[in-house]
Amino acid sequence: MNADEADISTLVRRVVRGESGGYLHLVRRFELGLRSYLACQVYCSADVDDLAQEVFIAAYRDLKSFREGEDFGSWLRGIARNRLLTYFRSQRRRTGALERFQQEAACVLAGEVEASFQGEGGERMERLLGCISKLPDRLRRVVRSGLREEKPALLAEELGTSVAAIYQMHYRAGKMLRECLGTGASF
Amino acid sequence: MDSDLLLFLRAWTGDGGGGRGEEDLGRVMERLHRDAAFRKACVEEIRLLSSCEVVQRAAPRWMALSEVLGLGESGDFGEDGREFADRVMSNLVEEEGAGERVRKGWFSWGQWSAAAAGLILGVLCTSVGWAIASPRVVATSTRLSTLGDGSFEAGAGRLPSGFPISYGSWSGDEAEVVEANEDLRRGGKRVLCFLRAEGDPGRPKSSPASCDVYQVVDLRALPAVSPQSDSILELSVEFRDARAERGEPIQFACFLTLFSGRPQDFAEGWPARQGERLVSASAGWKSEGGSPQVWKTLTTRVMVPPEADFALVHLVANNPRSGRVGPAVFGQQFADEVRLVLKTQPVLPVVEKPSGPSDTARVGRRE
Repeated sequence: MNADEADISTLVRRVVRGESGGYLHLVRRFELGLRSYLACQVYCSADVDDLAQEVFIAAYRDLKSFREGEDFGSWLRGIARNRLLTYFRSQRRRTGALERFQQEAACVLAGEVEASFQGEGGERMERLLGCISKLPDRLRRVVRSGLREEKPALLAEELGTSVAAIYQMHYRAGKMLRECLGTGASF
Repeated sequence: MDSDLLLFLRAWTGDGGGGRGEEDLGRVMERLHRDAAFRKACVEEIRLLSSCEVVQRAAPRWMALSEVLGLGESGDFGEDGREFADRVMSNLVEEEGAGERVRKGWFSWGQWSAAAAGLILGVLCTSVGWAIASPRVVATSTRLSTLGDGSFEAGAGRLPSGFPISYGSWSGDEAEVVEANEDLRRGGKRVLCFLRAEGDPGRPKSSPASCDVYQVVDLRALPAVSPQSDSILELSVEFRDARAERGEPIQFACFLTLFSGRPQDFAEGWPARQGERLVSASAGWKSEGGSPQVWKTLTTRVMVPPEADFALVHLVANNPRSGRVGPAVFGQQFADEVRLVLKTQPVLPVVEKPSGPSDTARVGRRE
């Protein structure tokens, strides 16, 4: 067990003993990674935050089952996967072609998504902000804006370009961000 | 960029345009099933996209989780406000300098560090700047004159009680501006003295532990910022624990929280409405008193969203142990030299051509 794992285990023991405030540390430590994991599979950002909260609540209630030395982030994602299945089931009846595509794609990619999160610490997410700030202006604006819903169209109008070009710019920005993070091809 | 990858991303992000039909989506889905390299490329893109979104977005309010943990019903899970002071602040100040390392909202040290090289010294009530990269992009540092009486020199006496409803004046729990002796003086003749913790209206607590002092600062007339720059608001406060002997740990903290709207509306619903913040940041320090007695400067920063209308500056002295048996009493804990500085972060990197201060006039507030 490394120092980080020992730290997590200590926090978990404290919370299990009744020091619920200690759970704040765990939430702060893992919320970025968990929300990012969920956002990889859920289109609606409000749903991402709701699901993240549900996962943290479920994890808190089931904290005794966490085994010392286990990867806490991986354990959380295990809970998240169950929540995602329930979420997708609840969404199935009222969705159109695009939403069905998103859900099926999420299922198809679930294994790869999970693998990409293995062993990743929150510090990389923190470093990402610094990398974003170093992007050239136009690319930075695209990344800042994001690609959800009508944002690409609005940004395309603002920058005097096409929606497809906005996606291309985001793709180029992604390459630069990966280089900045020193991760090569895999983010 | 692979055309199917583009189609995948446009569908994934819910883009309504792009002329995709069921046939296109079916083709992309079929490729997802059979093409491992394509799946890998898709995962890389959605991972990057989601990470960028999440890391730039403020953390959720975690209201339901707060209730489950017994941390209050208003969702003030631990970033600001009295609940923070009572329960979470100990976490913040347990680690040296943790207040500046803990991520708050969508701003982090990493981002600041990247910009720091291009930023310049703050100058009282003035702006200076010079061009970098482009003549329109300047680094500026402006001390906000809309923060009222940051040195507490306007006059001695008790602060008004309660959450402030007007801009530029201090109010809060029991605290007063006092004449300082030579030893205690920092800049001028007076300092703020924390006196006693109080509960919140509508949410009385038997044993409040923190003495909170607030000021709302009008941001609507901020010096404007070029679309090519980000603006960063930096709060610095000096705190001092003047107890001659070591005693119970006292926690000091400063919070900088930005809101959209009118402070009067928030005063009525405070602290429940603190969850409506746009962004917040904090810094903390724990002291046990004794010597050497020094002023401790706490500094925290947030990036300013264009929709921010006012900033809430929140100073806290907290005695969690005392708060368990009755309202915490202070009297030897002080604050002074509260400064709020607006800095612009230019597009990095590199200074190409120094220029005169007149360039600052070109900077306009982002619409």
